[in-house]
Order: sequence, then C-alpha cells, then structure tokens
Amino acid sequence: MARKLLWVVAAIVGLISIAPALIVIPYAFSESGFLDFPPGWGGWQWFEKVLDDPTWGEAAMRSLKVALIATGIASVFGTAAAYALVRARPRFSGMIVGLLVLPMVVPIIIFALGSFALGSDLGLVGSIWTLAIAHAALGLPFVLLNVRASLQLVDPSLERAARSLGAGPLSAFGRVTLPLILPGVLSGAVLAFVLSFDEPVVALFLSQDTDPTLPVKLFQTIRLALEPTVAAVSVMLLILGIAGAALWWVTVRFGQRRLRAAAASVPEGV
Amino acid sequence: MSENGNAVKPPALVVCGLRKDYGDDTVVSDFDFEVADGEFVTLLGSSGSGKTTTLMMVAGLVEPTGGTIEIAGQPVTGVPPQRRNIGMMFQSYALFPHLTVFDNVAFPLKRRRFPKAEISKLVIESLERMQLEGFGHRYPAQLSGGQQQRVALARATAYEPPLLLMDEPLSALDRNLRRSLQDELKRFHRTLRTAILYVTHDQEEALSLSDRVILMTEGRVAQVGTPQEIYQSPRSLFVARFLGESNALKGEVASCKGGEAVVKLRNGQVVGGTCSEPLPAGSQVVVVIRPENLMAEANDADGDGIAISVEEISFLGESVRCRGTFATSEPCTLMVGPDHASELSVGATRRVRWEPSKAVVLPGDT
Ligand SMILES: Nc1ncnc2c1ncn2[C@@H]1O[C@H](COP(=O)(O)OP(=O)(O)OP(=O)(O)O)[C@@H](O)[C@H]1O
Ligand SMILES: [Mg+2]
Repeated sequence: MARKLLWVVAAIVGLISIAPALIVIPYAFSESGFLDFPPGWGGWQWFEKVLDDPTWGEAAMRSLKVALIATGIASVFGTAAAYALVRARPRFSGMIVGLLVLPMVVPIIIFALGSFALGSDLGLVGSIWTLAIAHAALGLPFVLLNVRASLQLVDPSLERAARSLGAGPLSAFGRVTLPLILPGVLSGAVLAFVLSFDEPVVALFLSQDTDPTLPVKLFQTIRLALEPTVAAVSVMLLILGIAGAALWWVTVRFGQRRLRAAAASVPEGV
Repeated sequence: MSENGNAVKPPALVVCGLRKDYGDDTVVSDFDFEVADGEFVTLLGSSGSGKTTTLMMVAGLVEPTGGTIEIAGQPVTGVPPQRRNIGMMFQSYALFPHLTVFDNVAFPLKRRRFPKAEISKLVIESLERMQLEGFGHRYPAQLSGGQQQRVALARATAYEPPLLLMDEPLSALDRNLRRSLQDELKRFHRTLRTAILYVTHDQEEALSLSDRVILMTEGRVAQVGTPQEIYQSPRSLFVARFLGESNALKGEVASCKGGEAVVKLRNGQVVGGTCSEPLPAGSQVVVVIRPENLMAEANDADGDGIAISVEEISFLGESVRCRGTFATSEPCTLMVGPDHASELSVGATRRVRWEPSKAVVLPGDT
C-alpha cells in the first residue's frame, strides 16, 4: 500500500518536472507558423527549417566550443583545488571552499552583470574565451565538490606508496590518484558542461548580438516571434540531453563500483 | 669497514643526528643508528614516539629538519623518494585498487623502465616466491588480508631494493594470522637477506623478528641491542618496564664492585644483582627481575630470598602466572612451570630467590 502510494507520488513529481520539456514536442510538428493549440500535424518542416538556417548551426557550434573550453578549465582547476584542499589541508579550507562555491549561490543576474562590468573594463566582451572563463567559474564548484568527495575516499598512502616505488609526483598522481577519482572528475565535468551549454544570462551579457550562443539565439527568436522552430530546437536539445543523462548515469555507476572496490581493498580493522 | 676491501658491502642505512620539528614540537631528535646489509632492525616504541616519522624521513616522504641519511653508501639528502631505491610496505598495504595484482607488482618495474619481457619474468618470479601463482589477474579487493600482505611484499621487493621499510605491516590483522605472517616474514628475510627496517609497537613481534631492536621514546633512542640484550639487560627502568613484565624492588646500594651489586631493600633485607656501571654506595636503585627468573620455595627455609604472599594464580597453558606482594609491600609477579604450580596456593606465604646474574640493578628510584 505504502509502496503504491510512493509510486504515485514519484510519478506525479516526475511528470511535473519533465512536463514543461515534453510539452514542446507536439509544437515542433505544428501545422501553423505560430504556437497554436492544438498544434495539428505539420510534419518535419520546422526541423528542416532549423537545419537549413546556418545561424542555428553556428550558434550550436559556438555553444559547444564555449562549453568545451569552460568544462576543460573548470575540470582542471576544480580538480587541482580539490586536491590541494583535501591533501594539503590549508588552514582556512572551509573558507576557501565557500569562496570557490560562491558563483553557485550568487544570483546569476548579478554574476552576469559583474562579468560584464569586468569584461568591458578589460575590453574582452564578445570573445568566446571571456564567456568560457565566466562559465568555467560557474562550473568549477560542481567539479570541486564532486572531486573532493571522491578524493576523501582515496587512501593518501597510495600516492606515497607510488612515490616509494619509483614514481615522480606527477606520475604518482596521474597513475594512481587520478584513475581513482576519475568518476568524480567526470560527473563534475558533465555538470559543468551542461551548465555552460544552456546558460543564457551570462551569455547574453558577454556575447555580441550577431554571434549568439544557442540559448541566446533561442531567446532572440522567441522575442521576435513564437515560431515552432524554437520547439524543434528544443526537441533536438531534449534528445541530446537524454543522451547526456544516460552517459552521466553510466559514469556514476562505473564510479560507484570502482570506489566500492577501492574501499573494500583496505584490510578490515583499519 | 672499508679497510676490509670490497668484500663488505656498505651498511644498508646510516642515520646520523636525525631530527624533525613540527613547529615548536620536536618529534625526533639526536637519532643515530645503522642497519647493516641484510640485517633486520626494528624500531619499537609506544604510539607517538616518532617511529613512522623516522621511517618517512628515510623514505624521503617527510623532510628532516636536520641530520643525514645514507642508503647503501649514498647520501640521500635532497633526493626525492622515487630515486632512493627503497622498498616500502605500509600498514594499510596501499595496494592500488584499480590495478590487478600483476600490474601492482609490475608498477615499480615499469617506473624503472625495465624491458617488457623482463617485467613479466620478474613479476611472475616475485609472485611465485610469495606463493601467489594464479592470482595475477585478481584485484586487491578480491584477496584476503594475508594475500594482500604478500602482494605488497612482492611489489616492494620485485626490484630487489637494498633496503625494505615496513610500517606496522601486521597490526591490522588478527592474532593467529599475525603469527603465521611473522613466520613468513622471517622465512622471507632468511632467503632474500634484504636489509629491513621494521616499525612496530608490539614488543613480542619486535623480539621475535629482529636481529636488533631500537627502543624509542619521545623521538630518542632508549636502547639499542639484540632482543636478548634488551630483554635481559635493560639499561633503564623505562626499557625494563616497556619490554615484558618485570618485578621492581627499590633499595639502596650497600656495595658495588666488579659489576656485582648488593642492595639493601626497604625492609632491610639484602639482595644481590648485576650492574653495568659502578654505583656509589648509598645511592637509590631499583632491582629488576623478570617473572620467570624468580624461584619460589617453601617459606621455612632460612637463608636468602624474600617472602611473598600469594594473591592470585592463573593457569596460562605452558606456564602458571602468580601475582602477590613482596615483604617490602611491592607487587610481585612470577612465572613457573605447571609442575611447580602445586607449590603455590592463594593466601600462602612463600619465599622467592633469584640468581644475582639474572637481576639488574638500575639507578633511579621510580
Ligand atoms: N604532520 C604532522 N604535523 C604535526 N605533528 C605531527 C605530524 N606528523 C606526526 N606528528 C606528531 O609526531 C609524533 C610522532 O608521530 P609518529 O606518527 O611518528 O608516531 P609513531 O611512533 O609512528 O606512532 P604510532 O605507533 O601511533 O604509529 C606524534 O606526536 C604526532 O602527533
Ligand atoms: Mg606510526
């Protein structure tokens, strides 16, 4: 009985959380050029229109580039920061974590405004690198927190053992610690990627109107007219998103298994 | 040593004036010792006495504040751990959980850029020596504690380092397994003759495994010697108390010459013992006797020996332990063979004697 109730609640919560995403699907196949209800069946025309218009593809490529650079920066620096915090235990480590996680809690509009002010002072607004760096700052907390959690499960004497066995400091990290925290790094990186890829606010401030990222282009299009092309793009993103989530799930599964094996290899009583 | 020519290898380890400070805390100081080639030396000391710190400094994983270290004749100050060519075993074994047993053992060989064919040959040999044939493809999590220990040993010795460091490798295991692994370690040391610097806080383990024991307290050497020397001729009360049980009788030196002392106990009785240094008459001393060196006899015999009252008798299998109180009202422990147990009974008064050569007279009054 309680189990059934749980299922019902879960189904309702699930439905509510994905309904806004699912509702766009019928409109992507709309018959008319507006978001009319009921949408009717207009076939794949809006998808064709999106694929025919090069600016959509360009925007998608731009977003991909920004997200990849941002993910790279966030992963490297987030991992390095987590490593330093867990292994070296600096005196104010709690405060340092708080500081690095700040972009996650500051309202995005404030963060965007700040980045814009800083970027325009330095004359850097409009470059995808500036946007990527700002996005990296947003993604870094996810990497930091994920890596920190996995690093805390890794026995520090493993790296010392590697050193005593003939590995230099970098080799010891790369061959022993990194493989063990890789699931944490990867799930942090996936989150940082997704965050950057569909982040419109900071992107709106930091990119030029003529070369928008995908979320900015969606926003521009909606502002002009509620065309079903927007719904078609959304459906494509939805499919990519589901694929991404599946990938994330796989890495987490893989990671759990590996970490469990790592924990089990410590003899009992230690 | 060098005058003997090339027949003698340099000591595996020479430590000179080693010191480590953490801020204002001095954790190790004035530490000198040597491990000869092929020797098994144990650092023994209570928790926090600086054993691990010393080992880490030898390995290069902790930077000493002062002093010098030589490994196989080479000074290693400033040499990073990966170039010290030592083997090290950790308390947790520190096997790499993401690598198979084979790859764990191959790890140090790969870092040393051995050719591939030689790596697999050495790994296989090493696993065979540890009776781990057929375990190469397993992961550490799929092994028992004893097997993990053998993998760690195989990994630390596959490249035949001149010196093996071990930090309490057996302390996480239960008593029986520990015994059998101690035997294995002994056999391993006999066959390989690698010099070993071993750390433990278990005195029994130290005595049974080592050629020599370095007893540490508060980062300093309390006494160095063979297990017999340390057990039978402690040079301080600390050492006597730390290793095994002992009876301590306070008194005053009546006379002392030629390494033999006569001591007047608190109840006025006079007993004999040995001393390693001349003691002035009238100075405060403690006579230390191991429980197994006390001989109990009926109280009616007059002559030497002091009376004890028996308070508790426990049967331990191969021996019987008896607790009581000396006539000086100091506590007394004696160990006798089971045949002699019938002579003791709770509440009885007995007389104990000892050979003066088996009692050590140490200066001090605590
Ligand atoms: N990184 C450090 N910073 C400050 N103090 C330290 C540090 N490492 C060790 N110590 C101190 O040094 C002393 C010796 O520690 P060490 O680990 O060498 O002891 P040990 O003899 O190995 O003890 P155990 O038997 O418990 O392993 C301890 O008092 C410890 O608190
Ligand atoms: Mg220790």
